[in-house]
Amino acid sequence: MNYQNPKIPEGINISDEHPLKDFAAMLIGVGVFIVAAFVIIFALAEWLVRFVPFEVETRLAESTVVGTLVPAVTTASKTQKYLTALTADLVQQQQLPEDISVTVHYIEGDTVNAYATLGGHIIIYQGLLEKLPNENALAMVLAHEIAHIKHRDPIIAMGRGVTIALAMASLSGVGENAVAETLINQINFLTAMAFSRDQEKDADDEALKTLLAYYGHIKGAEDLFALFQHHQSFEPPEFLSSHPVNQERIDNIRLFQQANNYTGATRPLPPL
Amino acid sequence: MLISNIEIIPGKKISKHLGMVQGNTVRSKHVGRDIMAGFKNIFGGELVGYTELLQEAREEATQRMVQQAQAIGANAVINVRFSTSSITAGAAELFAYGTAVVIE
Repeated sequence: MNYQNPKIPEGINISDEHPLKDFAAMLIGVGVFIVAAFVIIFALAEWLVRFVPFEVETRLAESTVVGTLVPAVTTASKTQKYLTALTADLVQQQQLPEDISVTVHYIEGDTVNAYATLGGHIIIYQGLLEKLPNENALAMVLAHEIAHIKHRDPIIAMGRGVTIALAMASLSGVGENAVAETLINQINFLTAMAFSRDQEKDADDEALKTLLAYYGHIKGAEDLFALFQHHQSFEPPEFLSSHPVNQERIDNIRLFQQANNYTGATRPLPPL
Repeated sequence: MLISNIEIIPGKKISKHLGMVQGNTVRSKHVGRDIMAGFKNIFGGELVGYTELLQEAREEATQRMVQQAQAIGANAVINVRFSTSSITAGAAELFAYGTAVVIE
């Protein structure tokens, strides 16, 4: 028998593939997994938060937003009474579920803004009210914010915010107690988070229906956005902003007007 | 390629002896299988995922051993042995070795 001991070529037991290639593939795999996991958690959180009873939301609002975003004492001024009465009328038109209550707060100041937050609180600033040309435009603002409350948008936005905060915290590896602390510190920020564009559009549609039911026409609704357009010298492109661009909202109102061709006169604002 | 774990092939004559060839691989299953195996530990039974892991590792190791044998011109590997060891949790090394020969 012939005995030899030839050299065996290298690389059979150890592949010569570059380890970085393997690493990149794994990184992409893990990345896709994490993104998918977050998307699922996100969607679940947004869906589940709808089942939080309004009563719980109110209690949550009392411990978080009331006192900071919402003034604890509401002045019993003429304007406040007028806003409360108008809001009550619009709430009736929107047929909110019985357990949901809406409170409007009038705040003096130059800020041109109005928003809805946890616990059915609507905040409207003097700055905005002074710029509105008629009651119909004001009703559009209020009906829009009431629609947000009806759709439970504030708590959905909070659910989204909490999920993002938790995701950030889990990614940065903060300890359990620290997470709770951060969440409490940030709850004001989280609840003030913008609603999604779909939520805004739905609220607009609901508000137009309310106006139609209340006044018999939607005249004046457009004035609000025309006003925004007039006062905003620079409007950010839609993908950068959570609210649909004003022109789009005006177009939406015109479409609605064409479909429901009722006419009427706008109602003037009472002296405030 | 003839692979056997006996030292001589009955009825065949070994004309050339080419030394030892070996194939090895260290493999693991994906995290899902590890989690499943963790659950299985509670109830008992076959850890199918790990059985599969060793099966695949054996095949890979054998194939690499055969590749070495082919590279040096053998047409059989005799006296083949397998050995296994645990490298990290959930990963196993499979090592196959034998003698590369040329049989007539």
